Amino acid sequence: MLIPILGLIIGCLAAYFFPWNVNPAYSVYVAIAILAALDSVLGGISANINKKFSMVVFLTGFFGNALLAAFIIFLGEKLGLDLYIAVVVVFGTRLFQNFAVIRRTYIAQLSKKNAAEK
Amino acid sequence: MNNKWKMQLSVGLICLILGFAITIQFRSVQKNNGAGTISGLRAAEIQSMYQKEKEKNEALYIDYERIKNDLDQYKDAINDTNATTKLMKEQLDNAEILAGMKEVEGPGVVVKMSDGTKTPLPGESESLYWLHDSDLLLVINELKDAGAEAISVNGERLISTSEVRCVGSVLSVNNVRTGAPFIINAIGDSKTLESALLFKGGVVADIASYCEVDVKTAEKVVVPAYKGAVNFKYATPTSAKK
Repeated sequence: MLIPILGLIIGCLAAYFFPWNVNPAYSVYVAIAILAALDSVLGGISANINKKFSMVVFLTGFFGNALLAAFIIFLGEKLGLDLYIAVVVVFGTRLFQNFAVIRRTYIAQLSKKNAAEK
Repeated sequence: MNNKWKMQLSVGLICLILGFAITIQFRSVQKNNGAGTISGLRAAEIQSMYQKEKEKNEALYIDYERIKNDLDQYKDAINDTNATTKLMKEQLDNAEILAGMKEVEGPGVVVKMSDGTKTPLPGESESLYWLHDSDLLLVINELKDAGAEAISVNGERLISTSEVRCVGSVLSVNNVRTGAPFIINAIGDSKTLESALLFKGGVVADIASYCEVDVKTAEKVVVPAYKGAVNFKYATPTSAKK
């Protein structure tokens, strides 16, 4: 888990020294990018736990989801409809689902270990 | 490259994007929301506000001194007829500017307003995107509030009896009818006048959402004199009846 943490730190530092700020009009897109990235990271971890991880699926999932989300928000702006809520709800739900998978797996591993020690 | 490394690298890449996005978003949101709200005001800003109030206070004191001085002058002038006529002339000039009987010029703003160009949405009335007398009155009121000393609409000086009113599809000011675009000239402190109109959520921002408004400051704005005659038929000063 060293490289992901390293990536996170480098990303934070890069943004810290980044000279431009996000225009308020586009901040919703960045917020969605954050959600998409969080979703992908948790999804990747849970897939890895279940030994189903595939790099191609993972990367296309992130970029595909982010692009689709951006398109939905853009469409919502043009239609005068708050479609970004749909994106937030979907990503939010998936976050909790993936977290639940990770949590259950670790709890199962822990209880197995404890049972074995006893 | 085995699967473990692939996983580490790709998750690392997304984490990099995640960290970048979170940091930059956090900074931008802080910067955009922090300005304007009271809690976001820093001590330095509050201090500068205090400084401004203090300056205003001082200006008022200077005004007070001047008026006191004027009063002394009047008192002195009672003894000196020559000075009295001069003073009266000055007063007459002031009164004429106030009443709009003289063409005046000075720094100020020129506001150009015209009907909106947007096509109404289905079900919306077209007249939503037309300028109305209420829009002009809002702008004029805001200008007066900001200390405009003389105002004209399409070359018609606004005096105490001036009306600004829709008559059919045109506007009547001093009983002279003109159509869009409406050009409002106002003399006063151009910065104050401009900011009174343009502040966020202010009059112009409101009107600009459905019509065209253009505010320009100018070094020299000319406001013409009132062209009609003023005859008071009913109003007489109360002191005259005594």
